[in-house]
Amino acid sequence: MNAIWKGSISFGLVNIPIALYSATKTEEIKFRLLRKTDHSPVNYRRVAEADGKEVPWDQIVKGYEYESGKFVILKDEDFKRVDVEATQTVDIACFVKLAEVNPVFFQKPYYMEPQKGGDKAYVLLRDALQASNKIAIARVVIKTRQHLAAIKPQENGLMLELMHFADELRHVDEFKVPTTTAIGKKELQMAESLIDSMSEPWKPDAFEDEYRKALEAVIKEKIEKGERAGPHPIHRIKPTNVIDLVSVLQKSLDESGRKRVARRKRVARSPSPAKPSRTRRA
Amino acid sequence: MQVLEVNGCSVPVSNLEKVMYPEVGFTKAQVIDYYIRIAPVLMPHLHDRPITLKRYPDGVEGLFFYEKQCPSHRPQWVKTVRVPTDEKGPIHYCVLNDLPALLWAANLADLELHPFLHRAPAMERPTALAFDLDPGPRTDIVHCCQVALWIKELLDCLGVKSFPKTSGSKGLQIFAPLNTAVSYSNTKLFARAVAEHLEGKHPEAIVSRMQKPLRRGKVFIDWSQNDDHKTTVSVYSLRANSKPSVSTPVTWSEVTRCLKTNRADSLRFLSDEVLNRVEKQGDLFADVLTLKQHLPSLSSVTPNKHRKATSQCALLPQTIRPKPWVCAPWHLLLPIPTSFRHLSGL
Repeated sequence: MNAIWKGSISFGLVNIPIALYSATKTEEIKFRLLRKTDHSPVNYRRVAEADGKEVPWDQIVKGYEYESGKFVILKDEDFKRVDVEATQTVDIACFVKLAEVNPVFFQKPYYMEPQKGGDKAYVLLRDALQASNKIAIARVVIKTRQHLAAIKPQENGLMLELMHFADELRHVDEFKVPTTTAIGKKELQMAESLIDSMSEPWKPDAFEDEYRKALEAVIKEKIEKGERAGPHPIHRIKPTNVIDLVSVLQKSLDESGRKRVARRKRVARSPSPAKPSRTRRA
Repeated sequence: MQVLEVNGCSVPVSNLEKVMYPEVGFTKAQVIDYYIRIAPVLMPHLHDRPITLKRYPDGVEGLFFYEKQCPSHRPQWVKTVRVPTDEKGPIHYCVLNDLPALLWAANLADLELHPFLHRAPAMERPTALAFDLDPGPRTDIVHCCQVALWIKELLDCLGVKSFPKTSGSKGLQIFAPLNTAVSYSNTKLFARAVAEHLEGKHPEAIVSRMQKPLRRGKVFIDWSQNDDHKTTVSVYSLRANSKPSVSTPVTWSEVTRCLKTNRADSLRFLSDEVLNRVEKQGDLFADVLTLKQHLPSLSSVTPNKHRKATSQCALLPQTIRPKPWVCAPWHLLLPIPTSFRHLSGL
């Protein structure tokens, strides 16, 4: 597993060297795209809009479209010029109670591993956070953007959880939600009883991705059935029973021409129904 | 090239072994065979009607396309009818008037037949009034049966006989034969009034507007099919579902039984079942071709403010405008676990 970022936590006068690792693994099933006819894998190419020619990576720069079709080019050194000091540190700004932070702010968790010489300060910060029941709020720049982040103790480790800035979150007022509606007392009671009857301790293991499991089963079955397919030639062997099919259809035609389809009527035709009132025509 | 000899015409056929319905291995040869066998009852319903082809060149799991303009490579014995359009000049629609034309279309993988409600040359005169009942999320054909019976009750009361058929897909359709002088503008207004009236009476079960979010838990009565540029799937047409299901005419007692027994599958028919039914019962939709009925006046469904309601049907309330959106009680929208049942006595 590769660290996605290396730097240090800046906590007062102490610096704790750390490496950052993703705390989640996405278990999505990956599919390759293939050409239908011969199962050759299909690749993407970066081509220039202007002439359709492929562009190698070293010829690619980043542009900001400040007006439709007009760009300002930002090079690596331009990105480095921004907030240079912050790039290699997790800067702790303050400590808050975990319960004060609405969970909607948390975005993506990472584990922090202490690097050479950092063990003691790492344990100190971890144990102090645990004892005070608090989390650290910090700023960190990863790649090209600054993030708000929380440092949380997690058993023997420390986590860095990226957070949303307040202005990134939509407010509930932007959505049409009812403020008050007359709800009967009985309805509320029923709803509350329903919630009670379905309440249980939180067991995260009880939930798993059923869609992925079912999809894996389908894939396994196809592999076992021998429907594995490498690239295969386009030309398929023509079936030899084509002539037979035509003669079967011709026979079907001749039969149905001879045989009149039974037209026994179950429902006798009723007399013309009573005429509806037609005041409009009067 | 292979050729079928049909009534003196040579119908070219190709790729007969191609599987059109992979789930059951139903091939193009079987599609053509079904249309050969069903033709005696199907053809009269298609006669002189312009038709939109819905073609599935790679079977029901592949891409499909609608073809309004009859392909220029058609044999000369496939008739067309010219329909002027506002925008791009006239469209020459195919007309499948005989068996060779039908089989030619089937060979083009035209699994579904979507004719207009009118016959050439009377392009503004529908021969029937049609209601397309489309079950929304969490509803199925059983719910459609209930709505269909309400529509039948109303039409019966107005002296109009109606006939149900399955869409062959999820819903149910009701045809009230007219075969008299009438225009789309009248049938559309009438169908809409019926839909809105019933929505007003049963707001928990029916929606008359097309917007998808409104349809959850309800049956959508699509009245807008009564229009000179809309087509409706033909009776006895195959549908492009996973299995070769058919838009099948059924009896009202079958509709009632489906509702009472709550068995959605009792109104699902595949091609060979439909051939058996026709063998035994003939064409349950035969009357739709011939029965002459007049469209009741609109005022029988929408009472005029300035005049006392003239309807002979006492079931129509004075205000029939439905409320814009009547919410079901919230707890009806939640899945009710079995553990909740004991609470119903609360």
